[in-house]
Amino acid sequence: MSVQTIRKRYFTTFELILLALFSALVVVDKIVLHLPLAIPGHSGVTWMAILVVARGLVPKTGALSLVGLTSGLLAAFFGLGDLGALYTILSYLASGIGDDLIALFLGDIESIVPAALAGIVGNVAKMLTKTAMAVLLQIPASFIALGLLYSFFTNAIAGLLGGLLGWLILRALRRAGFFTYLAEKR
Amino acid sequence: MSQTLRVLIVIGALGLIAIIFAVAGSVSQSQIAQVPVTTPQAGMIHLYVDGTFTANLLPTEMQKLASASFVDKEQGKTQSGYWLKDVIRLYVKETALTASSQIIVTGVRQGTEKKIATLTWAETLDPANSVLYSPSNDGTSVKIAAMMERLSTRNDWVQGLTQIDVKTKP
Repeated sequence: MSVQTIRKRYFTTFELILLALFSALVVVDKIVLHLPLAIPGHSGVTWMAILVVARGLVPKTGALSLVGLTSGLLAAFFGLGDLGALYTILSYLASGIGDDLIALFLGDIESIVPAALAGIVGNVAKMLTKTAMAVLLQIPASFIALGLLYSFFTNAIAGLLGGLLGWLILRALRRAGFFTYLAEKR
Repeated sequence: MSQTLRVLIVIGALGLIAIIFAVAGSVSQSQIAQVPVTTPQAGMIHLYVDGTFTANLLPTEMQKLASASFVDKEQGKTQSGYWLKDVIRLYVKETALTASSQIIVTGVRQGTEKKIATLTWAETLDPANSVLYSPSNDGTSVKIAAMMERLSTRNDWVQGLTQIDVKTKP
């Protein structure tokens, strides 16, 4: 008589559904929400909030990289971004990987300071990837160098606000008993 | 390692990146100040008139121009920058241009693939076409965006601008 062992999957189906929904939300956010600000990285306010909430609900390493990759693929299919599909996918993926790494390094991002830092790192990772891609694509670099520090600060501030917004949402969800509900679903 | 120390390490790393960018920006600005005007410089947008190199387009020169913007039909986003006609007037005398003079803009899309669009001077001048020289918000590139029929979507726009060719007598 043989004994079959069932390998436990890293992400449960329920978690994958949640992450897919967050990926879709990132793309919807990019298409629908237009903040009237001509400031580099301003979309990070809502984008990073979504990533921080996603990490709070699925606290596993790799969850945000998966959200980044899926949302990047979706965004590329929707034609978002100015410089082609690869540029779009990599910049979305960078945010996810950046947030995953920061969550891994800090242990968790559920308290206020780590959440804010996750927002900053995620948005700055996106900006750094875009800059590296611009250099690789041989786009004239004078604008890149002139705008880097300004762009870094605005991306960091938008990411910080996004991280704080995400933390507030997570706190509200916890108070509303959503985490207890999720534990039952799992 | 305590979480406080880890937080400080992350903040320190971000501070280091900011310092690197500050130094890179300052070096770049001093390099731009020394750029010879007679030869095309790597990393700058080049302007050619009738096949002859005319200028490296400098961000500092653009700041002299009035800013311009339009809301694109495709996504309803505000595109801002400078009218292309004003950018060309900075370097080319308008008396040398006729309505049929060609403005050929070349950009980069996905690696080595070039993207080119050709406009006439009359199309560039037409306010309804809103032909815009638009530096991206994050400062990483410049695109040529417009509202005219054949140049009204992101697929038609020329992103990652590298060169502008003006043919005064096509």
